[in-house]
Amino acid sequence: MSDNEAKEPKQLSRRDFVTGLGSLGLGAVLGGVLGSAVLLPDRVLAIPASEGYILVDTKKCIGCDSCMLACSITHHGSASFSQSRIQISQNVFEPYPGDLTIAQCRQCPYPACVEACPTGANHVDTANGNVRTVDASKCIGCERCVSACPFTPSRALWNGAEKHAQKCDLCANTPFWDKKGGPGGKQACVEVCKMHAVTFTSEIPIQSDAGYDVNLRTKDGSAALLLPTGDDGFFSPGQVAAAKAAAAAAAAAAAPKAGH
Amino acid sequence: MGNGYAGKILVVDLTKRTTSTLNTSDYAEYGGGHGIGSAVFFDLCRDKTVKAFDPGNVLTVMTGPLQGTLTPFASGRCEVQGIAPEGFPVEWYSRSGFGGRFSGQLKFAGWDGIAVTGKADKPVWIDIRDQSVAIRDASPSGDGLWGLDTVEVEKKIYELVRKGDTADWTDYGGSRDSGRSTLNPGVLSCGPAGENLCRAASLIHEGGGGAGQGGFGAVFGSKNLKSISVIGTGSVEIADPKALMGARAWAQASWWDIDNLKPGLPGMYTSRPSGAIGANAAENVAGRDNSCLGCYKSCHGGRNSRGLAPNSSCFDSYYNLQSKFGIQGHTSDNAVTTDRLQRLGINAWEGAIAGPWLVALYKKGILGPGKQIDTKIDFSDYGSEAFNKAFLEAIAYRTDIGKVLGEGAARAALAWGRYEEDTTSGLLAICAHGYAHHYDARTEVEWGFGTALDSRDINEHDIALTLYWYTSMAPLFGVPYIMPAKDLVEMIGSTLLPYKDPMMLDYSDTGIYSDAMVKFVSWHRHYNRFWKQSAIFCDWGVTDWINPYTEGYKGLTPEVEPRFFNAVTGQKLTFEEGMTIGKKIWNLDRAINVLQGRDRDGDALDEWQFTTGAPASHTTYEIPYVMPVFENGEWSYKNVWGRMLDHAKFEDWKTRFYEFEGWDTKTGVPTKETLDKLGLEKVAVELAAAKKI
Amino acid sequence: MLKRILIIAFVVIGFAVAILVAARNAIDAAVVPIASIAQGNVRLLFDTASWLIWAAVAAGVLAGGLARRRPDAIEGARVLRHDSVAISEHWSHALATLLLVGSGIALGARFLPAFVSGMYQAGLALNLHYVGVVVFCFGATFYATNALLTGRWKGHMPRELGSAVKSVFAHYKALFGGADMPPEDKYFASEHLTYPVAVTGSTLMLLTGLIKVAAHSVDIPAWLIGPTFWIHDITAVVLGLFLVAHALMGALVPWSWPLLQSMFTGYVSADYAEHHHGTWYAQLKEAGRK
Repeated sequence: MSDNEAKEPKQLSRRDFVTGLGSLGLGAVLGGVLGSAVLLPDRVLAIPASEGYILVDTKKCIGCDSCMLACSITHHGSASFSQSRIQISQNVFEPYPGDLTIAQCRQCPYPACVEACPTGANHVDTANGNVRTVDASKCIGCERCVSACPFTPSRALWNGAEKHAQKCDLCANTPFWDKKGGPGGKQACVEVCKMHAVTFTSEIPIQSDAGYDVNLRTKDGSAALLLPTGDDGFFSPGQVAAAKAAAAAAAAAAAPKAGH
Repeated sequence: MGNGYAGKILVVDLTKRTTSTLNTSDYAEYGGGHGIGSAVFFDLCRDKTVKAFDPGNVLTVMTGPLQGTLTPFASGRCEVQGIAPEGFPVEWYSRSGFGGRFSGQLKFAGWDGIAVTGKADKPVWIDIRDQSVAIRDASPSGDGLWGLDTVEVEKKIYELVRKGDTADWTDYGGSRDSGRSTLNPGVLSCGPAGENLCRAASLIHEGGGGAGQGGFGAVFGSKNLKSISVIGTGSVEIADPKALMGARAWAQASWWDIDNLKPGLPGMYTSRPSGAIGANAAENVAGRDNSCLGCYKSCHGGRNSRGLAPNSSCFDSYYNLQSKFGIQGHTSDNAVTTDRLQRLGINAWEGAIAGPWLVALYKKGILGPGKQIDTKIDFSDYGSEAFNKAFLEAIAYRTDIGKVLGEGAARAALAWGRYEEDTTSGLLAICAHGYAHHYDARTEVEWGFGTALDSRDINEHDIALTLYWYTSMAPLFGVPYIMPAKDLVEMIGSTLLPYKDPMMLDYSDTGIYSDAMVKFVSWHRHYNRFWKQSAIFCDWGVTDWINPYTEGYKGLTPEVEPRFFNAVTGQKLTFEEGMTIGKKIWNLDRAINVLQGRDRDGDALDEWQFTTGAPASHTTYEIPYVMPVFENGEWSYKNVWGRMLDHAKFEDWKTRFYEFEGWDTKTGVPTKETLDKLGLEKVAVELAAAKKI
Repeated sequence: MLKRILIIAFVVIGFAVAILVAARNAIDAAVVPIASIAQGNVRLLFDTASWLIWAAVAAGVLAGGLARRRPDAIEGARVLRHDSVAISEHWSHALATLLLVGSGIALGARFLPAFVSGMYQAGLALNLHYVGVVVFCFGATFYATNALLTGRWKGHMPRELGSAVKSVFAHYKALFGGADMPPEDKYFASEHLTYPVAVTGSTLMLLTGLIKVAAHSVDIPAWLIGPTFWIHDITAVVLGLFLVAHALMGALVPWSWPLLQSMFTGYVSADYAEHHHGTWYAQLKEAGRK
């Protein structure tokens, strides 16, 4: 430019500034959308698997509901059935083993509750072993997670007293317990289960309709306690045979001897 | 701060069909359970001399702060009290306890207990859903509950309350935050026996949790009350949850470990008290054990694959076998009979003493078709399933011999002119007050003397499990004693706060009438009244005097009781302070019995216990009876079986007991001074007005 | 000319920056939708299209910068009260707010139960809320940008609290048959008083709403999101009541119908303006002479 050309003093008006800001913003948003949608390959990654699961043996459970009380006490400081994130349903008049079911959260590999949550309250907590849990401060009470859980009763539940959804977090957040929880720590329900019917595993269980219901009676004192050790909850063939033999021996010992 | 209490007591007036509430805080000085139940009874029952079936009788169903929490042996318990039809010759005001999940539901519904007064004009049931209480029509034209057995009625109520929605969360209250539950309600019902006013009718929960003694099932029946159902979606705040979790871990570590089972001690039901009745490997009838809410001891029976006798345990299943001189066991027909007994809602002890007595009369030709005691029931078939069906149904439906027998064995014996003879010979093994012999009064005197002074068979197994069962079974099993008698009585004696005197455990012929035994029976009454029946800790959990799984076998008593109590309530109650509250409750109960007419003459044991050392007709388990004795300057374990009691010595012991308790030494009535010192001034006033003091 | 170049340059620079950011963010996990339509799940637009909300904000700023306003003026027998920018701003706000309040009531809050039940209904309500959010964000930022830029916001603010309150009393006394109507400005004093409330409330809704939208893309810490929810929900209730009052007083009561008409046509009659908004009319006449 020559010295002779008059330069207009370049004043950036407020209007120009604002218009520029808007343009920048619009460009950024559109660019970002195009960028992630078009220029980069579709990368759909699975949700990281939980590092902990609750395994149960419904045949071994004695229905004491201690797990339910421990869950509510350690999470809320008060004892409750309805606030427990593990539910033991009993119909005492049904014949064993149909008289009791355990409804515990399966920490699903593809969690419907996490996917359904509009605010990210129900999320995968990567700081706590990828446990699927609800951040109550983000819950808006839409209860989509409660509906989304494919199991009955829903493992995500509504806490009507504190007004947020909640679910098993493997005791990652238990302010009323002085033990460390989460997949790397202890679970209150596991700790109070005398029968070891509610147990913890870090290996992802086989997914089946049985819902992580496994036979935990074959390697512990169940047989010594005269409990049935079969997978179906009945006595194993070995147990039946041994009992029959013992009964026969007792009868023989009691029978009058020939010749007397 | 939370303190374990729900805060309110529901009062239901069945005559007026109204409900009201009391504040638990007005009664909290009595702890909970039976203590509060008696205090509420005292306030609500104007005339304590009314008959058990009178609408003026007040029935209380009461929990305490520990119920619904994680306290083992306590969480699932509930206490029932009122004027008890089973008492003879006077319907002494008494109590009964039951376990299961009812008390949890009640607490979470926001109620510490229920008091029922009056009488409904037709059959009703009380439907409690959190704070909403409805008195519903139980008649056949209404909800169709009256007439059903205890199993069918509970199943029906599940349907009615769950609205058929049994798999998922059921909504209660209609709004988002009003509460949901996946559980069935807690239900307490009388069976046909109660409907028909059998004096030994039980109240049944979950098929087998039973308030068996006292006949409170008939009090339900007399009020036209079939069932109480409760569903609770709320919660109970714990004062110190971390302390509670710590206490639970400590107590739980003091019991067996299923992954590392160590042998228990003989006779102490340490590994598996009962299991599901009828479950056995030979027939591949499988089952699970059951525990009451929050407890890991699994003494509460179980459920078997035949669906029979759920949650039934102990004597529910033994009544038949005991009489056949069998052993407690798991045979198929036992499950059928137990199931029938529980469904009809009959106290198993009644059947236990009535059976052998009537069989003996049958063998003597006094009872039978066309005989002096006329019956069409075939007593030659005694013990068979057909016999049990006919016998139990006759009692429950008041047919045949049941017309009279439904009045209880004692009153039946009186009606048949046989009371004095048969209770002197021991053919009819009543211990006292019309209640069956349970543990032997002649050997284990704290049981006998305690029963005589109290209102019913005390059913408190502290000594029975440790200084009878263990001490008798160890030699039978060939297992050496864990320690010599001296060490054992010193270990247990050190827990008998505030006295800590091992001489209190001397069951020798002189020991049983000693001042030390006065102290022990007094200690036993106070301990049970507060720590067991009011705090409420289960009789099968505490006293924990000999523990097979701890260092030196030392039990958890006296630490476990206050440790849990204080963690839940936030109080700093000591064991001894609890004993003082127990003394207060014991005196309150005594005063109620005095108003009903109790005095020295009423503190009696049936005569056979003074005339013979032979076993009671229905017990197969009492030989030998090895207990600790202090003789010739040293302690030993001795079989005291065969002993009889002595009237003169017993009366003298009673006099010294009355003095120790602060009661009139002639009549056994608590003095005004004693009552005032315990804070029972208004009780003293009422006794004075009735001219008892 | 230079301006046009600058605008295009800014858009390109923004584009490039965004691509870099997007590339980095694409490493993050994407949610795999596993709940099927059969289970009642509905794709949440807040998840799949939250970019449109940010675009609406940016577009609103842009539009606010570009929009030129027509000043109020007397045109023969009628007076221009609202230019086309004001009309479109108002009705887009109205539509958006109705949608937001309606779907918001349906969804409930922590302290208010929902009217929707199940995943499908809740999803539907959330998507309707989303549409309202997009429109509102555009409209609110458009309005805010333009009003601040042109200084028109000053015309809505109350002069001074004391005189404003006195004015309100005088106005209603006259309305209910008291003394003569004192000469009023374009907006009545009562409307001036509600303006700060409306602006504050809308600002809070916008900010808290945008934080909630951001939560779909990044993890917002609990100390921020917690109060955000409460402010959002409580302010929504307050503004909902405000909306009712505004609709009542601005549209439903008969004496406001001329004003309602002006929100469609842009004009009130000169006669109406002279009698009911005398001060405003006088100012316009004064300006017209210049």
